[in-house]
Amino acid sequence: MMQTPADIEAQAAIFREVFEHLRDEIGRVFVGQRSLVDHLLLCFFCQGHALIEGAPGLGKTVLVRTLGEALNLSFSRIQCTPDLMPADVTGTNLLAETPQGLREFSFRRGPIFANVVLADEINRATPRTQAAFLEALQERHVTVFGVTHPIEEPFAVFATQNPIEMEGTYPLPEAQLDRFFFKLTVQTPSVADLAEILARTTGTGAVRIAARHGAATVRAMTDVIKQVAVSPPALDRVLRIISATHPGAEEAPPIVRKYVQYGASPRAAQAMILAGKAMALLDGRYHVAAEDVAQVALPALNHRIIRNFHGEMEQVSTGAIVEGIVAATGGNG
Amino acid sequence: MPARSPFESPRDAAAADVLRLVVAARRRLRTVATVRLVAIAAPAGVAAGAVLVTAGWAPAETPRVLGVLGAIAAAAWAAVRTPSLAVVARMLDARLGLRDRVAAALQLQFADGPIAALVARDAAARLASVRMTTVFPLAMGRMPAVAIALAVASMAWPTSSRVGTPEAAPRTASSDSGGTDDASSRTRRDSRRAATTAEPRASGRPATPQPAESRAADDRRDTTREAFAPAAASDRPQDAPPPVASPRGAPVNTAGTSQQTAAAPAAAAATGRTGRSGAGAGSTASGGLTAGAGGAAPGGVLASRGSEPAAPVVSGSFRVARANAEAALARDVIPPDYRDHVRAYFRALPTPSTGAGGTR
Repeated sequence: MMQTPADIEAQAAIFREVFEHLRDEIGRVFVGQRSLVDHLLLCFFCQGHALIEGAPGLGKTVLVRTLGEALNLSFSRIQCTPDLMPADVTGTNLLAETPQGLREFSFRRGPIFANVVLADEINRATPRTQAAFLEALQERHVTVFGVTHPIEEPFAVFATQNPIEMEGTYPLPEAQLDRFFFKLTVQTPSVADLAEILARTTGTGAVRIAARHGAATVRAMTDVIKQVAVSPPALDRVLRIISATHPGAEEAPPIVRKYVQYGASPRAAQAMILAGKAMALLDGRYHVAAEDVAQVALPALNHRIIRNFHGEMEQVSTGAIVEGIVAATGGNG
Repeated sequence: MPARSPFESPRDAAAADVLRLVVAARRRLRTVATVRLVAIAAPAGVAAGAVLVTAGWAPAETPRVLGVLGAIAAAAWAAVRTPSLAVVARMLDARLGLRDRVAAALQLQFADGPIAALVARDAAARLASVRMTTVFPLAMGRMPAVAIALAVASMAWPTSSRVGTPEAAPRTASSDSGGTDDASSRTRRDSRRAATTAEPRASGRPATPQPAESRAADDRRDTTREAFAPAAASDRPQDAPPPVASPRGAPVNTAGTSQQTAAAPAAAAATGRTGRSGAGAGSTASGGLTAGAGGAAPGGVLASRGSEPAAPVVSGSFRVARANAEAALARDVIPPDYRDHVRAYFRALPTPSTGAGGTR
């Protein structure tokens, strides 16, 4: 059915309302870090997967679980360990007896079959298990014994990793990192936020999340986001930013030439454009502006820029490199 | 009854409005650029023409012609370099803080779909109250002012030098240098005369011949000035007293003191008290009294413009020179070289019968 401008306007209004609702509900259990919450929601509505990095106890699990609860979506959590097997993630065929007394294999779905999946400490899983996530992340289906099982939309995997304890971990390969839409970093809360956390969590009252909308609403929102137009300056900005991440490119600023080994892939450009579309809708526009893509450059490029030896030795963060790229291509404004 | 298209007039009207406003903005940009470039190029052409005319390399109409040509070239350049509609849309977005609304609407002006309609409507609403004269004001900047000032200066300089004292500056320079560059001063004089006679010829107008009397008077003035110019160090007689420091620190040629007192009034009388000759006499006196004193005033005699009498002398060197001269007169002693100077001066004066320097 062909949509009218009024339909789009109505859906955009719903999107803004849902976004505000989620922001408020998450804010009731997750104190502060507005930017992190916004980026997580953008990532979810764009149907991307996020890699959340932060020290233990900062509320990563609470954040993702609240998202699922507030939208009345199915949620599953996978605690990754070295002995976690791919079948534990995707599911497997089990021999079962039918009502007619026959025995046959039936597929038992793994925890990956949920709308919101939290893969906790994904870097503790073995590469084999990590690879099992690949197909689900990218293709949004799982193939077991030659049979493909689609995953219901909306589907988003939020994987966490701990940047401190690297002992006995298997860092995600670049190919797998690239499949994440955003990489978000959970910061240590400020003193005021910490006091608020203590006040909320050490008392007797339990916070109840108001569940609204549902999977259908999220799917409609995703469709609306994809319809948003991209202005020529925004497209130009994305192309320049992506090009500037490559040390051999003409547009590359000195910090990239000095500290970067590999630049961002086209997936980064896709992520920036999609997130920019969602930002434009939130701002009441129906086109992506150059400022929108600049604002999502950091989470979109954070994990897609591979530093070289000098960058690692001098501890130049990818965040600083991305900031240099954004500044060199026109700044945030 | 056919179904109504969901993409009817609002999108088309809004998109047309946006396009119309962007075109208007582009026209405004071109106007601003044209005015600014013309304001730079026309005066620059005039200035260049004036310089060429002053140097005697071009006819008198050159400034006007170059000014017009500059204006035409500037207008053509502004027309050629007018930014495209897409660039104008981006400029509008940047100046009005519209976050690429106009650029997006312009890109989607021929697209179908609800999003294109919404984008166009949004941009048109934002642009509705915008005045292009406010967004792109006629800011001239510094360059046109510089060009106009240059043109005025280049046009005024030859005029003022023709009306006022054309020889003043070079004469002062030559007198400062000791007045020994007779050959070069003659060469300059000849070239100036050639330029003034060549100018009307080249411009197509009939050349007005300089009257013989006027030319002769010029020659006489120059000869008088050169004859009366102070002697340089090399020309100074061997028995002349060495220069002493003046109260201002400039060396004072004590030998030239009586020259100044005797020569200044005489020179003024001989040259008919014209503005030119006044300046010439003043510079001569200054050169004779204070070596290196630029212009007339520091040297002692202020050059007068037009027919005004010379200003009273207040310089310390003049007082010293005058006192020395009076002392010499009181003693009835006049050095022989001073007599030679006076003799040379009167010899150089024109006589009514011969028109050239006579002998007394």
